[in-house]
Amino acid sequence: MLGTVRKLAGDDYTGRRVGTPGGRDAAAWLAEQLRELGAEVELVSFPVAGVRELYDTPVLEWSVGGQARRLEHRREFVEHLASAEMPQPHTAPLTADADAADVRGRWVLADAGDWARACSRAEAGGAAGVLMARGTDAEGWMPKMIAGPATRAVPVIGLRTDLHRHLADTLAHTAVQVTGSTPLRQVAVDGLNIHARLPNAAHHTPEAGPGRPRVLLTAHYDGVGDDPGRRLPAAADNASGVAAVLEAARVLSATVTAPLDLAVAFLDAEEAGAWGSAHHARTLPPETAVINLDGAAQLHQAASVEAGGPAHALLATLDQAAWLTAVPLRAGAMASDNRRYAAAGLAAIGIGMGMPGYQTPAETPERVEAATLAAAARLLTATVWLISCPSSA
Amino acid sequence: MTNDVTGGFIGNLDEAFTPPAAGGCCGGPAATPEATATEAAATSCCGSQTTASQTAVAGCCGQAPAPASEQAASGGSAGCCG
Repeated sequence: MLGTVRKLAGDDYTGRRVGTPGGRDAAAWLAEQLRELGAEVELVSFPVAGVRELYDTPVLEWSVGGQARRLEHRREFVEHLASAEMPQPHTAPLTADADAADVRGRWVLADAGDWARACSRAEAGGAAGVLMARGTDAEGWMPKMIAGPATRAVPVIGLRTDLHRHLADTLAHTAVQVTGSTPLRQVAVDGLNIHARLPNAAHHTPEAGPGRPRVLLTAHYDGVGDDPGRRLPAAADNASGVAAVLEAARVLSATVTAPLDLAVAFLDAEEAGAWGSAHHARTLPPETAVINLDGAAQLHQAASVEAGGPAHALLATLDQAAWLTAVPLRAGAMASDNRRYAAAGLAAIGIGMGMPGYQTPAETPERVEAATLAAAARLLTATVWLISCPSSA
Repeated sequence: MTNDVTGGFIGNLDEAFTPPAAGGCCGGPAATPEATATEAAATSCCGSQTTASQTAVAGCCGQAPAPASEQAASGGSAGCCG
């Protein structure tokens, strides 16, 4: 499983953003892994709109009394997903308050509070752009996102909270010039889902059979993609989940002899708004039970579990499997692909087992715990086993 | 077999259908369990920056949500994924 994580997080796949060559190559590799299990594999393309693409490294620099300070992207500032595109750095005076009488042509240091209102004031006043305060994760990174709200008419940059405060203090007694760019655009691309129907050890054909339980294991394989010049390996989110699902599929296809229609889907475009699962959910029979794994890298106290749709029986089986495999579970929000299946009326459960370094350059394979991968694979395997052989529960 | 390794659900199983939201991170409204990833992205975190995976773990980005006071002081951004 760690080998799978390292492969998917490697340089070849460039962070696996939907619609990129790296993403497509990752899909091809995963399809091959599933074929080696004897699965019937289908790759299904679907359109994805509104994906944010950072096509160059943004710039943010301020100058006070002729002394310039250039800031580090993703450590000290970050593009805001609602930002208008501004390809080239633009220099303008900074003003402190979006309520200021004249913001025209100036960068605006937005007050703490409602960023959307600050943007509206800046747009109405013809401001050059908006700087808003942003926090970091525990390691000082500003995670990357590629799905968000509608684009505003002004460039918007998130400035680290302490620097925002420093700039406000400086601006109180002296003039500040700001130079910034937001090379961020929206692109329409094609996503690629991988759907695989697995044989079982008794050589049942993968065709549906009356009365057979139908189980679908899912994990998204896409990431937010590398920054220009910087890797974002997406090892935890969600190479780890893919690795655990692939391992569970391998074990189940080799050991389950009871009649069972088992399928695996490796989904694209989750990071862009769960487009892959939305597309896939419409193609499934209504009796399909879906288990989605998003994050299997660092299990602390318990795996987070969210259930949706008619999943009471599936949830009870998962609980039983967790008891058998000594994996603690707790209710936790899992806003992942499982919600698309639940929204389509299917029994769907989402499981999360940790994402260290979430969507930052620090989300590396070295941080994915082998023990967590094993726990996730065991949990999935035991759950499907219990579904296929209810009398063993 | 005794369950001395504490596997299985902690708490009520049915809570999984209405799990606690991911902290209402950034002081903003939390994504509801019914929200799709896109909806969560648009509404949940900082008004802009939550994606599906972000609320998939306890607290934003696998961290505990920042105290409300800290969120307010930072313009609603502390503790939440930037």
